[in-house]
Amino acid sequence: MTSKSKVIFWIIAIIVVVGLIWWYSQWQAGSPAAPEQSPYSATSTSGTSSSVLPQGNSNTALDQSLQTIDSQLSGLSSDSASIDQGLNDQPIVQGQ
Amino acid sequence: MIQKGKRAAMLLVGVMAISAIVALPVMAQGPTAAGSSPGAKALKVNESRTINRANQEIDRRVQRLDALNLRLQEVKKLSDPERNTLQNTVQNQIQVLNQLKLKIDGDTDTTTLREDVQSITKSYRIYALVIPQSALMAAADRALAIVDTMNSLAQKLQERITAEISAGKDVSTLQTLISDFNSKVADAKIQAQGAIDKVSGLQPDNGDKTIMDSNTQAMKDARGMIQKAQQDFVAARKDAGQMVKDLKQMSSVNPTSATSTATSSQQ
Repeated sequence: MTSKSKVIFWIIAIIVVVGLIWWYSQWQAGSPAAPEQSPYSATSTSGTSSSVLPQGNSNTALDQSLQTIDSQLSGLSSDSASIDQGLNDQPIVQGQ
Repeated sequence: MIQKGKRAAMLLVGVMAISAIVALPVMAQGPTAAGSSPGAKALKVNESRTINRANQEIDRRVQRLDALNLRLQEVKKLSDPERNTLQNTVQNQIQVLNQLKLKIDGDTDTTTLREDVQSITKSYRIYALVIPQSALMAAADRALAIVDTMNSLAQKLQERITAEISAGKDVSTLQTLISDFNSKVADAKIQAQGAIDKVSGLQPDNGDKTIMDSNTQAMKDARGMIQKAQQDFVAARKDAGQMVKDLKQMSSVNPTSATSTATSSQQ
């Protein structure tokens, strides 16, 4: 292979690579993004059914009561995260 | 001869590569109208990109609104008008966005597409209020439910303390703890209700910066109140944990006081 031929070959190879990279970037620009994570989930929004305390004031009842409160406080933390997400929301900028 | 053959082969490879570079973008776009010019092709790519971006934003909002709608179905302490107003607003937003998405997907000219995309931007001011406002109301609702739960627990603890007094025990520490517990819970209730009062009447700013700033400040204030309520709950929970621990120790000395079930406490 002559040196001139080698140069032509490499120029063409570089053009092909650049072209593929450009095409891939265009294809990615049109792809939908992954859905946004939501702080709410079916299991994190414990409703009032878990706020019913056990009867009595035995040691066991008091322990269970504390567990109920812990569960509710965990739900409140989840709600707080949702508030922050809402206050700091950023829209996807539209081109037009 | 061999050199000429090699040269010809390399030129052929080059022509095929350049053809591939030109052909690939066209293949990525799919079939185009007969006789479409390079300018028309670029416009179609641009429209496709615009529609994709619009759908991303709509899907993002609808997903958040759906999650919020589920959450609002669980609120119990808000008044019926407050809850119904929030739910109606959220459901209306979901409906409007879904209709807009269908319209955008079906747009056939650039002008209509541009107008529809602009409406996404304009409607953001409603969304930017509804999401945090509803989240604040839901959090305040849960805080009020926790207040009720903690008051029920306070009643149980007080019964046990009373039993220990009857047994002649020194309960001064317990009385200090339950007093602090009640104080924290009472403050949490004030904070939660204050948060509701701050945001329940807020209206979309419709582009008015003064109203937007006022809404933002009100929601930040309400957020501070929820955080204060959380701090109160954490402190009250710590008091409750200590009281239960102390009562267990006392009952291990005097077993009869641990089995007191004179009054049932239920929310």
